[in-house]
Amino acid sequence: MKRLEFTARPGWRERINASGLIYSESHKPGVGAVEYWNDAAAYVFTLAEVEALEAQTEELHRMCLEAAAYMATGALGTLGLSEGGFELAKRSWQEYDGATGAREQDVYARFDLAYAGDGSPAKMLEYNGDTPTGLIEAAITQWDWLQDRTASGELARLSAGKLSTGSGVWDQWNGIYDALIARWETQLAASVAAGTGTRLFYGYSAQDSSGEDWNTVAVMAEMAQKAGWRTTSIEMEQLGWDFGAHEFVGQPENPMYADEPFRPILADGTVQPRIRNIFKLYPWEDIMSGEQGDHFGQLLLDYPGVIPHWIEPPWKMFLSNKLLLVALWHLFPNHPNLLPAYADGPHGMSDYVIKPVFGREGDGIKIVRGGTTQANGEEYRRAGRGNERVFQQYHELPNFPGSAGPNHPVLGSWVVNQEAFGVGIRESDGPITDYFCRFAPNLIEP
Amino acid sequence: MPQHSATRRRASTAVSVGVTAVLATTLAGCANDDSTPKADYAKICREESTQLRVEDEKCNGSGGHGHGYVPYFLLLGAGRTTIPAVGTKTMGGTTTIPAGKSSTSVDRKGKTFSGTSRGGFGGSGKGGFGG
Repeated sequence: MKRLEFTARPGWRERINASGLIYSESHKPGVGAVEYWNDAAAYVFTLAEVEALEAQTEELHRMCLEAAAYMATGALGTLGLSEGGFELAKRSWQEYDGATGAREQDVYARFDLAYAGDGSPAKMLEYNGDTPTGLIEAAITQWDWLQDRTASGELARLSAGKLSTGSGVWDQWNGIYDALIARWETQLAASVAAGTGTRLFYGYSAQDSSGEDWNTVAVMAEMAQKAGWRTTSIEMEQLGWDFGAHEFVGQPENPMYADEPFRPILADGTVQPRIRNIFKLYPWEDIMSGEQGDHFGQLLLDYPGVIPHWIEPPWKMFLSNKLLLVALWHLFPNHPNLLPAYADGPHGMSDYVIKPVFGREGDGIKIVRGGTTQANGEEYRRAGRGNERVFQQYHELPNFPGSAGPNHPVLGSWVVNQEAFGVGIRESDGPITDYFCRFAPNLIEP
Repeated sequence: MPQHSATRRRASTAVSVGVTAVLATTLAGCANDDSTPKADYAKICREESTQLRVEDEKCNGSGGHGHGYVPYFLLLGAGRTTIPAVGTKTMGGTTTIPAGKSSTSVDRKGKTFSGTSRGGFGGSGKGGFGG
């Protein structure tokens, strides 16, 4: 893997906004405006590297499913979840569809991998199996970048005169968009077969002011639409519990929009649609917390199957929890793609990272090197019920220095329906891939 | 094990995101949610001897209590879906409500609430829930 630099495309900001990436600038205290999208750099793989990384990603995913089974036994406790949350995750994991013989279906997830770029095995840093983001930049924005760089002739000039046994065309490790549409088509067929209709609600929290959550679900909804779903947006706060009918409903709407006949008509002539399929960008550990404002979770236990299809399903609680790393190391010690990880302390490691179980985007991460704390991130995600933490061996990220300084890349490897379909790369100045990292597109050289 | 062809093009074939298309997806959240009770209690006027709901005006006059008409409060929310019309017997309410609680008057025809409660998801503080 190499890192190349380019001149930023003219009008690049308009281009990335048009692709849905509208949340790219943030403010870093002491520094000022920080741009998330790096238009002027790209990481370049060989095809052989991509094939190897795909195989490693898929093997890691299969190992994670075994780890989920282990976590479902309660061997690692209730994982920082509420008891209701753990119970719902366990039930969801154990439920098999009688007709298809398959577990409650999932759509997507994203690994974070450290890769030295020299063909050595990638190391798994984490897995976000519940609410992975970075979708727009990985599936769409970097694809647009590839089209522009190809159309301008820049890529052809890069490889001009070089011997190539391939087609001579620059490619990108990014089949995410097509893979997601295909997966949504499968989900639609399953819903129709199960009698739960063709309507998909997509839920997000209105409290996200950056626009990232809303844009991510909207883009996902558009892919679902292309697959044939009829999609309806809803804020998580708007989901209604009808305590007469014992069902979850959306906002009142004109009966002509109803997707089911004979819905009860309200005093004002509207009907409330039943929620039967919902895609949500909102964490399960929050849904099941039982706190005021997230107190409906108990209804999912009291009325099993009341919402037949959640994407992602509740068993993804096992794959969005840092204790997954502990389960993996326990089941597959010394596996080349894993780092040692423990729940109860550093176990003699002198260089290690402490991660809170529900952390995202690097929050709350502490790095200890030779006994000294070198980084002590502020936590802003929910803490585990028992303040659970995971101690993972510290792993030095490779440096691909550029004209502006060091660049430490982390590979966000996307899994759709158990297969690897693409990567989104985030690079940082320092050792933690945090909120101020930069996204750089990728290429596969001919 | 899934097979990937060595000559397969990795990048998606056609990615098109229509921002307008995204905005045009059915936004069902625009309807005014008239069906959920907004106050803590419904306030009606009840004739004590017959337990019937009577016109609100009967509780407004200074002689109200003397004639057996008292303001009557029915707790709204999870348990109650119907407020009776004038002329209907009504029970299970109270004549006083706790300090700090709100009440709302109800049309003489009565009202049926849809019995839908909201705000039970999404309350966990800051946004940016992805990662």
